[in-house]
Amino acid sequence: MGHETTNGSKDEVREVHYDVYEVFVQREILAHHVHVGSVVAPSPELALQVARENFLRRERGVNIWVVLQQSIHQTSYEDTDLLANQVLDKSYREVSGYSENAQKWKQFKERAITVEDLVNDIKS
Amino acid sequence: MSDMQYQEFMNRISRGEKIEATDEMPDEYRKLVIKQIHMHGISEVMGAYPEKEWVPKAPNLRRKLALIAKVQDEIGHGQLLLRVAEDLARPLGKMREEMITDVFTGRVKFHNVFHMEAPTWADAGIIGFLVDGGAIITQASLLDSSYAPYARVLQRICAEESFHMQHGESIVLALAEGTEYQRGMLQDSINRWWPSMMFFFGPTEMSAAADRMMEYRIRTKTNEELRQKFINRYVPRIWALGMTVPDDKLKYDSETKLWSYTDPDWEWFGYMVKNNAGPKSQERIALRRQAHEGQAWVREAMIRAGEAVPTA
Repeated sequence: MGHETTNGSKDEVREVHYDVYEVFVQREILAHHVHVGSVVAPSPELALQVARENFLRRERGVNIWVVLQQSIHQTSYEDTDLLANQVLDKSYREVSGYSENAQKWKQFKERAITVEDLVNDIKS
Repeated sequence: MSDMQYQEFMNRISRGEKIEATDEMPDEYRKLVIKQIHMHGISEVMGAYPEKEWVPKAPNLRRKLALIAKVQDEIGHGQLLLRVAEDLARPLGKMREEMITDVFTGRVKFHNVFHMEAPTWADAGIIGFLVDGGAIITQASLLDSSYAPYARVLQRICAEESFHMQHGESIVLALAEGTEYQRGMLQDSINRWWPSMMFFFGPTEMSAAADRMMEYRIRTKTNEELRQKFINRYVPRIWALGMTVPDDKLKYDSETKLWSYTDPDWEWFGYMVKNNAGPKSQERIALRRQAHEGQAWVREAMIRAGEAVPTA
């Protein structure tokens, strides 16, 4: 992509730098926006256009967000302590930590159920 | 909003379209969504209190860790929901601080179950088993709410509730296969919580506000539909444990596919929730106030910490 324009003179070439926008696409109305990449553009409006051309040529989307890259704050990959939340066994807070429930319900001649069963009850 | 705009909004609703925070919407819709999510969010926060009482007294380390994790999840759900409510309330000049302190002054109600006592360890289990079960059924029915940010945040909340459900059942199952004393504790707890669970879903004849929420598809199931789903799932499970349900009218009609049940004391529960007059209402609100006001200095310090440090 050419981001250069000339001012008419043969000698002077003025470089034009666009801002970088990070792009988040929402695939369907009840989905969350997901980061898919970035684009450069001179304005938020054009960033949205460019994002559509770059990321939604085939897939369906219902909404796009563009966020100035400089507005994004991130953790450092080096700072592993910040996200080191798996050093202890966390099975006590996982469904998988309660697999014995199913055997126990069986002893009581009942079937174990999950959240999905309750969600499906509502749909039925 | 003109009549034509209102009609266009209702057409969107009836086509099954979803509403976003930045969309045009009738004031009534905005206020009803705020009311629903505010009450839901505050109930998540107040819901942590009965269980938190059992953290220091949990019977072993694993149960203690699980209970702490659950309390942490509930407060987290409160945060997520208040964030959603706040986006809608901001144009009305209402912010987080007010949404939190409204519970001190009774301007926002919270679920009847969280006004009740949890005197034994069996209550910690029954809350996870029945109260969370009921809450999941209610929340599952809101996954299709017309207010999209609410429906989206509930996907995450429901996913986290799946651990709460297993945790509650695990405690209940352990007691059910225990000694006579433990089974007695479990039965007493079921007896204690059952009428509260019948009230939990609200009266069959719904309030005018609840009816409007149905018309706006903010919610999609009636109180009675939700109560029937709950009874249908949980009564057979309680019976399977060899426990009884304290209701001699409880009966399934295979023709209508509906359960009959004894009405809870609607008047008393309604009064209790409205006036925070339950056995634990005032004590828990006082703890909530103490936590919020006691940590005001932390919130203040965080602002200072965020301010730029002047260079020497």
